[in-house]
This record gives sequence, C-alpha cells and structure tokens, in this order.
Amino acid sequence: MVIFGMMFYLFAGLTLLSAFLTLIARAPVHSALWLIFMFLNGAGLFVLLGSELLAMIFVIVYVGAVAVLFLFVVMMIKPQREVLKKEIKWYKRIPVLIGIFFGSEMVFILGGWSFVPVASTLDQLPSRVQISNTTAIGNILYTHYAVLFEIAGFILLGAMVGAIVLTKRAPKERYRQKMSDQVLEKKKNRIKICHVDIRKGV
Amino acid sequence: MKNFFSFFYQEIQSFCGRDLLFFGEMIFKILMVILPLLLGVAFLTLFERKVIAAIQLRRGPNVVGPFGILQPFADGLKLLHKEIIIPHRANKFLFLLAPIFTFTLALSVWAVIPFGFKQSISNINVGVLYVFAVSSLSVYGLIIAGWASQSRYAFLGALRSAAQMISYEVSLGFVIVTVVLCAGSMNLQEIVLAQQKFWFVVPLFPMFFIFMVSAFAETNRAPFDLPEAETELVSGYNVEYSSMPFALFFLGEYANMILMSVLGTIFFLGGWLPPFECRPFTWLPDGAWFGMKVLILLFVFVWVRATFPRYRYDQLMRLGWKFFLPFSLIWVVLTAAFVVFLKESGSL
Repeated sequence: MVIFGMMFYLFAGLTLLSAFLTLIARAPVHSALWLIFMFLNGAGLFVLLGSELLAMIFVIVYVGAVAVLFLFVVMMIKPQREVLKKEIKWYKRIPVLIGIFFGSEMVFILGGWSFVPVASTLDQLPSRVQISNTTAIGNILYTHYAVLFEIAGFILLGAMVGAIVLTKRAPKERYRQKMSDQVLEKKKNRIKICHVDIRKGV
Repeated sequence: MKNFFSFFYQEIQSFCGRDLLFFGEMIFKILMVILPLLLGVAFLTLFERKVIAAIQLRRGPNVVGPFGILQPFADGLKLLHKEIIIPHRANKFLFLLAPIFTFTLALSVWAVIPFGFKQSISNINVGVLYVFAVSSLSVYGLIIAGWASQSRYAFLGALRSAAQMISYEVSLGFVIVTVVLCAGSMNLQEIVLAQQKFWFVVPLFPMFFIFMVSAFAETNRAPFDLPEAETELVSGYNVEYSSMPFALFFLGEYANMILMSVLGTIFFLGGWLPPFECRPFTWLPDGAWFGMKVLILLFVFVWVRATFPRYRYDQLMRLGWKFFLPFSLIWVVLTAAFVVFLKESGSL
C-alpha cells in the first residue's frame, strides 16, 4: 500500500503546484498548459479513489474539450500588455476581495472540521461493492437524479443554441459555394476565345 | 519513533517481495507490446511505400536489403544522426516536449488493447473511454508543436489539424457509443466476446464506414491530410522539426494508424475471433486472426491514400458536422431503441 500513498502525495502535490503555477505564469499559453496538467493530476486522484469512470470523463471533457478551446482562444489573442496593465489596475481589487472571502470561508469550515464517529463505516465506493463504476453511476443518474439530469441537458441545449445564434451571420454576409452551380457550369459561360492580332491587343 | 521506522521497514520489505515481482512482470509485458509495435511501425512505412508503388506501377524501395526490407532501418539511422535544429525564437522546452508527448500518448493507448483472450497489459472496465481519453489528448502534441515553433506555417497547420481532430472526434464518439450499446460493456475484452454470434460490422455497417472515414481524419491521413498539405503549408505543424523530434512525430502518427486499425478490428471485426467457430477456422491461433484483420484495415488506409484526392477545408468540415454527426446521432437513437426492444422481448 506504500505505493498508493506515494502516488496520492505525488498527484496531490502536483495538482497544488500546477494550480499555483497556473496563477503566476506570465504567458497565458503557459497558464493554460499548467491548467491542463492540473486536470490530468486530478484525474489521477480519481483513479486512486477507485472511480475510473469519473477519471476518464474528467480527462475527456475537461482536458480533451474545454481546455483545448481555452488554448485555442489564448493562442489566437495576442495580449496588448500596455492596455492590459492599465485596465488590470482597476480590476485588481475585486479578485483580492473574492480571495479573502473564500479563504476565510475555508478557514471557518476546515477549522471546525471533524469526522463523525461512523464515517469510516459509511465508505460506499462502488469498487468495494461488486458493481462496475459505470453501472453504479448509470443506475443512480437515470433514476434518482433523472430530473436534474434532464435540466442539465436543457441548460446545455440553451447554451448551444446561444452559441449558434451568436455566430450566425446574415445570408448576405456569407460566401458559400453552390455545388450544383459549379457542376452545371459550361465552358462557353466561362471561357472566351479571342484571336488577338499582333500589336493591337484585345 | 521506533514504531514509525519499523512500519516503513515492513512496507519496504513487502514492497521488495511482492510488488517488485509485479513491477518486473509489468515491464516485461510492456516491452512485449512496445517492441513489436515499433517494429510494426517501421515495416508499415515500407508496406505503405510498396503498396503505393504497386498501385502506381512502380517498384518501390528495392535497394537496401532483399526487396528493400532494410529500408526502414536505413531511414531511421539517417534521421538519428541528423542535427536537431531549434528555431531562433522557439520556446525550447515546449518545442522539445511536443514530440515526446505525442509519442508517449501513442504508446500508452496500447496498455488496454486485447490481442487475444485475456492478453492485454491491463484489462480495465472503462477501456473504451481510456482509449478515447488518450486519443483526445493527442491534439495537444500538435497544438504545442505548432505554437512553440513560432512559425506561421507550423501554427496554421496545427490549428487546422486540431480543428479537424476535434470535429471528427465527435462522430467517432457516437460510433463508439453504438458499439458499447450493442456490447453492453465498455470493457474491450467483453466487446470482442459479445461478437461471438456475429461481428458488429454486419448490423452496424454504416457505422463501420463512418468509423473508418473518421479514423482517416483523426490520423491526418489522405484524403484528409490538409494539416500537412504540401502545396499550401509546406508540411504543417512539423515543418520546423528535424532529426529525432521529427522521427517521434512520424512514429506517433504511424502508431496511431495501427491503433485505429486495431480499434476497428476490435469494435467491428470481432477482434481475435475467427469468422466461424468451426474446425478449419479454429486451427489458426487468436493472434493470427487479429493480425490478419489489422493488416486488411491497414491496407485500406494505404489504398485510400493512393486513390483519393485531397478534400478542401470547407468540404471536410461540412462532411464532419453536417453529414456524419447527424447521421451517427440518429443511428445511436435507433440502436438504443432496438437494443431496448430486444431486451423487452426477451431475445437478448
């Protein structure tokens, strides 16, 4: 079991370290890459917990989809340092306030934290029971939490419709090729054969 | 304090006994997968050149060794003793990290692939998702390579290939969902065992087609090899790479090609199972059937490359989002309904 302990501290340490580096990295691309590294370590922690399905979903959704888009956007936009510095001065106060708020919240909660005496017997990880992870989550997601699941689906649908509407352009602004026109194009409509006399031009 | 040390001593002792043996066995297994894989990649390049040559009525490589069989090793040695060139303004760390990352991912997928009954390094319950997760990570290798080399060509190539891979991953995911629905498990072993009566290629043939086309797009192969369109982008995301970093990209790409063929075999062609469970077919060992099916799919990869012209970028995107995605979505719903129907009527 010493291996499990070592792996836990490795993943946990790297998660914290990379989260910190995400915050302090200068270049936005480096910041995004550290974020991705953090997600991967988080997935490692899930595997150690015995919930391999969550780990894989975590990697597919966060690293494979969300973070790729982050990276895309960050790579495309070149930050204009001077303008950014001016604006940041004003915004700087708000994150500090939020940080203080959450920090004090954590101190309050963790300060008064204690395990219930029966906590160790309540361990209900699916790996201890003889069902696979996927079955366990499916059983609970589509029965007990069916309504919440549907609501989440509708929210995602709304987001998708919003994204499509935002990027949709009027038909006039679009340039698109009509395949049928291209196929039906005849030689005589496109090519004009001229006999050009020398030193006279067309 | 003494207790503490004795605890550690015991842990280390048990580690040396049981766990070390386990590690040794694991390393042996990993080598038994990786070495044949690398050899396979080497000979796949030769196979590709020979097949394309035959299609174009040429001879192909025939100078190094009998029938040019040592050509891949000559190419490898050539790449090995070239100089590693790092562009002036490139981000050195990321520039060198990208090929290593790509190659590592291309190898690490093979941990869950079953080559025969109970013949895989690790038989995990969510094998399909593992494969999908790792292959969705491989986009990063390309993006980082394109970004870190600080070159317009490389960056454009990287953006293109990333957009292409993300688009086709969606329909690939739906294809995998139909297979999982039919098999009733995400374990790769059980997916193969579920095909004992008939291979999934029979009821799911349209999905097999979509899988193969998406596989071409995922591996950046012809007719979807826009990321390395020679005429516009010189060679895409890996323009600035030379020597071993380039070789790592190359190896990773070809290993991914083999991987896609292997996945096609497992999902649709019944993995290591013989076509009929009767006498003359069962004489051949599992691995031989597996290898034959993978070779057939690899031949299709090369065949398509030699036959079809390259797609245009907008055509590629339209095919992915407007044809494959809706079609595979409808097919998922139909398959799910059909499976439920079979279960209700008690014939499954």
